[in-house]
Amino acid sequence: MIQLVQLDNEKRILALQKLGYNINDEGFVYDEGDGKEVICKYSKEKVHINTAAILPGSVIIINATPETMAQYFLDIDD
Amino acid sequence: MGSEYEDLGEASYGFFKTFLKETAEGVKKFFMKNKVGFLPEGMDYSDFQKLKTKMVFKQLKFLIGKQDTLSIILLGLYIQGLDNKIKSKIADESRQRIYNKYGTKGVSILSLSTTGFIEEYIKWLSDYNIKNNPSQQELIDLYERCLNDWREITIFVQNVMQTQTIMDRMIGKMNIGKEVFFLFASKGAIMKVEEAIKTRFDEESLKEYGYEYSTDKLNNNSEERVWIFQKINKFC
Repeated sequence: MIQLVQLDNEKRILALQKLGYNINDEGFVYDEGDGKEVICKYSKEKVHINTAAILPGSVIIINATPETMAQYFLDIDD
Repeated sequence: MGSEYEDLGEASYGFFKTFLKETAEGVKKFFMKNKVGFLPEGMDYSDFQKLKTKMVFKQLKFLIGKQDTLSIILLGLYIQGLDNKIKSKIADESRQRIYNKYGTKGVSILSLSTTGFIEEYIKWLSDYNIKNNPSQQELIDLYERCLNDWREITIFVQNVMQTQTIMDRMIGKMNIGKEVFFLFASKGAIMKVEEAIKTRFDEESLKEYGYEYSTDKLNNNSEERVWIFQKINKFC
C-alpha cells in the first residue's frame, strides 16, 4: 500500500526543490535542470503547485484530480 | 515541532522529515523504498487502492485485460463511495473532464460505474464468458459494443410508468433485435416490471421472440433490481 501524505504548498515546494524542481511566478512546477515546465502525464496540462502530487514509481509529478489518480493507480497496478 | 507534528500526524511527519534529510542521491530511492507520495492538503485518494482490490473490478480486469476504460470505471467506483455532500460536485467536475477526454462514451461509462450498474454488467459479462467461452478479443469487442450502445440497451423503469409502457419498451428492444438489454427498477417500480413481464410473456412466448432473461438484486439491495434480457446464443 502506498502511504499518501497530505502536505501544504510550502512543504511540497520543499519536497520538489529536494528533487530538483521549483515553481515559477505563476505557480507552475518546472525542472531546475532544463528550466522546462512539468507536464502532467495524464491530464497533459502544466502542473500547478496547488494540485501538484509527488508520487512513487519513478517519482511522478502530476496534477492530482480523481481522474489522474485513477489512471495512476491503474498504471502501478502490475 | 509541536503544531506541525499534530497537523501531519506521527507517521506523515516522520516521512516528510526523513525525506528532507535524504541526500540528493537518496531522494528518489526514498519514494520507492517507503512507497510514499505527497498530495496537496485536503486531497485524500487512498480509497483508490482499496477499490482496485474490489472483486468486481478485479473480475473485469481479468476478463478484458488492461483497457483505457478501466480507469473511468475505477473513477466511477471512487465517486460512488464518496460522501453525499461532495459526491455530486466531484461527479460533475469529473464528468466534464471525462467528456473532454473521452467524449459521450466516457460519460456513459462513468455514469454506469457511479450508479452501481457496472457490477451487474460485469456479472453478466462473466456469465457470458463462462457460457460461451469466447476469446479475450471477442469478449473485449462485446464489452466495447455494449458500452457504446449503453443508452439503447437500458430501460430505467420509473414508478409512474404504466405497465403497458414497460411492455412496449421491452417489445421495442426485441423487435429491433437488441442482443441484450437491461431493465433497472427500484422500490414500487419493481412490482411494475414483474407485472409487465408476467402479463406479456410466458416461457414459450419469450422463446418465440428468441430471448431469455435473468433477474437479480442490484447493489445487494432488495429494493433495487435488474432484469437482463438476452437473445439466445448471440452477441449484442
